[in-house]
Amino acid sequence: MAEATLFLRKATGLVRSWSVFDAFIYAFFSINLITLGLYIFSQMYYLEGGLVPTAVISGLIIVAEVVVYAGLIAVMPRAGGDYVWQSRILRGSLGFVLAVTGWWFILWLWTPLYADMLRHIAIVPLLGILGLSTQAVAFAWSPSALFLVCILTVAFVSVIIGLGMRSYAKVQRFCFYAGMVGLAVVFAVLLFGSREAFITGLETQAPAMYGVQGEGLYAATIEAGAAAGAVMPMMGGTMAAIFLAMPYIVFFNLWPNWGATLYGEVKGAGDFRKNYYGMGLALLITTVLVVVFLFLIDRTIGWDFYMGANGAYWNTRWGYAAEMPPYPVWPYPAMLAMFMVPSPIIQVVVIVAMSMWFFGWAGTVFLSSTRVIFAAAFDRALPEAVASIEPRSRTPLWALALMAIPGLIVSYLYAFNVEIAGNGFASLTLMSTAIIAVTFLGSTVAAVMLPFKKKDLYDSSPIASYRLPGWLGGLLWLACAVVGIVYLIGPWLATLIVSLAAFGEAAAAGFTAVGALGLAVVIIIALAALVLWLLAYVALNLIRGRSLPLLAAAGLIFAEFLTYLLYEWFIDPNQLYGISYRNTGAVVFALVMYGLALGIYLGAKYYRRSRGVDLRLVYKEIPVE
Amino acid sequence: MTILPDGQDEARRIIEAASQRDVILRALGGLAVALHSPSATHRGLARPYPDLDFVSGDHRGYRVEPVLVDLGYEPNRSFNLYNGDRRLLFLDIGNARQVDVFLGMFRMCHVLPVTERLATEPWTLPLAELLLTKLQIVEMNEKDTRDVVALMLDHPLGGQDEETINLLRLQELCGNDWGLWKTVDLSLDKVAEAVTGLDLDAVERRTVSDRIEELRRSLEEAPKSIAWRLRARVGERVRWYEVPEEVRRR
Repeated sequence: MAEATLFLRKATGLVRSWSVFDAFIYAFFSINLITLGLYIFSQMYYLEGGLVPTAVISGLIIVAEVVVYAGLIAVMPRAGGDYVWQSRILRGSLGFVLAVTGWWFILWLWTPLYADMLRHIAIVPLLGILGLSTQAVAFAWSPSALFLVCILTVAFVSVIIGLGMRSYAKVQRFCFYAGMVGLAVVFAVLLFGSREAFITGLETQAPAMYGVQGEGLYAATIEAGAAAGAVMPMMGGTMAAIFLAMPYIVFFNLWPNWGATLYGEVKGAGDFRKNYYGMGLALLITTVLVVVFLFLIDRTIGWDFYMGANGAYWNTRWGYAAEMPPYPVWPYPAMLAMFMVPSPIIQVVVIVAMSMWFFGWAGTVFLSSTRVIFAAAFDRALPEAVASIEPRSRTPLWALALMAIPGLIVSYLYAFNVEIAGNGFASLTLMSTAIIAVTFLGSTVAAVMLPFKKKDLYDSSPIASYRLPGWLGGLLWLACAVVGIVYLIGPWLATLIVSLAAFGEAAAAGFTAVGALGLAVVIIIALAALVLWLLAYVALNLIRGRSLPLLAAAGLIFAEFLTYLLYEWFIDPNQLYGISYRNTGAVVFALVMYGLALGIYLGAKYYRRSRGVDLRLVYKEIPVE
Repeated sequence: MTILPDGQDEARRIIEAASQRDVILRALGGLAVALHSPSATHRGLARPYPDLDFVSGDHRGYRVEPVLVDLGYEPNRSFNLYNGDRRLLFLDIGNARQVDVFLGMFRMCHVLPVTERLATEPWTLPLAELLLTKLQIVEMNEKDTRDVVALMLDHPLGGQDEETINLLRLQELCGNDWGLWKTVDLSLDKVAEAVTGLDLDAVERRTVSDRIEELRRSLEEAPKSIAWRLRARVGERVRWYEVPEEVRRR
């Protein structure tokens, strides 16, 4: 028998829907430079850390996240990602609550954010190019217009997800290529353009596009930006300032792992290296594009104008100023570049091409979430009907409805800046990131524990041999301990002491103030305890003579980064981010979401128990691949 | 409804039940070979049939799934959710058997347009397509080889389908798809080599070897499309087949 040419294939093979390249594009679009990146860069105008070093250093740290998630996928490749890992490694209830809040509920808040980006990168510029200046400016500021775009976004996303994974991949690939061509043209225009050409183009075309006075527009924008406090440099800034800018920039680059819930539909996704390189390349290429883009903006448009326009726009948008900024719409760098192109036809083509960055990315607002919903339904923690699809169209109607309908409700709250507990809903922008970061922290803790708690599973995985030599593991632990104690827990405890000292003052202010301060104290203690516990957990295993698995090492690094971010967001001692315990609306929003998730879990648990199904036993089993 | 323990009887039961509901199912895989080829029970070629594989002419899984469920099969809910636009999986817990249904097309290492000829045979794919579903496998295993040998031992090559491997059909499919032709050619090499190691008498071995050669010559001489020729210029420099992944049993 010629054994050499025959193989021991056990069963018929399945050709999965997505290629590794499709998964790369999904990760690349998830850390979307044109939508997420430019949008959040523009809001960072008042921070003092250089934007380029912030992007680069945060990107380097996020490599640890890529290792964590590539490792989790390789060890436990399951559709539903974070939900499965956390519920099986940590605890069912914790996994459910964190996954449901971070992958389902908080995506409702992302709906108006996605829509706002579409409005500013496509609709407003196109209206302006077509000479509809009044409509362009109105659309840029109108809450009704934003809500309309929310509806269109939800409709588009629902359709595209309903097409199925294969068709989604085709749409994504087309948008990737078209978007990259558009970006190349923008880069070329900036590279071969000049400051003078930009100023001339801006001051010549802006009046027709946006109904503003052209002459002196450039200087007026810089002046308005300075008045708004636009100080963010492109380079430089102290390391402290750079790190203080990170809780903002991660709104853009914390997501190379966004496709982790889609495993099962990607070819070769059980291969650690493929996952690592897919996510890692997306992060690397995006970071390089950020640096190139910002340098080109500085060279041709001028950093002072760019940040000034950002500052003036958001200063008015956030209500700190009443007057319309000189450049009256969101300063979209691609459109700014197009001021140097006299042909409106070319401008339209390029803006449409650049809008493909949105259309190829938009599905991410719901797609990954549907897999978490399915996984929870298969565990019977959610009604089984939500894991069904409409048979003819193969659309997951229930899962989409659970995303779209609340998404539209939250969109309304956001668009019209409805007050929640005394704070405008639009102030909750960074909650969109913070809540997901809490979920990621859960998976990261699970990643640290996995090699030790589920030793057999880990040792039989493809990454079992990825371990740091003893001395390196010890050194890394030491570095993490120094960072954790000196740069995290130390300052946190100082804040804690200050907070405790302020209790008297809070008591005089009333119950709400006491409650808020108490919440701050709880958060600080919880974060500090978590960091200490993680360090101790890893140390104990090192002392027992176990080498440090790469997964646990990366988890330790990323967990410290996440706890740092969470501290800055929720405690915010410098009052930079607007979603701390001081924002009662943010507190209420978070409590509602976590409370709802916990309520659903407890309801499911007791309902299933009455039917003879013990969810605790379900969570003891790892779902079939 | 009770699932029959015998694979061949059960396959017929499923096909008949589907037909009564206007769903066309035809068997493929090892069991389909056994339905057609007495030599499948030959001492040198016999093998177990742990799975039942079918192809449906209907890509609408929602029409196919209820047929199997009503016959007593348990659907693999998560698999069918994610892949139900092209494939469905069911489990027969009592007999530890898996039922696999390809919807609307056969896709593994290559895509085969099998559904347009489902009416040719009452229980299985036509012999030409049945053979191709085996020869298109890049990583053939021992079971695949035995199935191919059984088919070629019991059926001559010719220009029609009635108990014959339809050469014209094979020429048409391989002549339009260089990648398929390439894999089939490589698979024929493997089978030719494997035949020497099987427990067959000299006549049987010669019969299979001669038919392999006849098939290979026929495919070589068959007219080739422009797309085939263009792809042939690229050749093996670019991978010409899909890499399917395993569907693990529960």
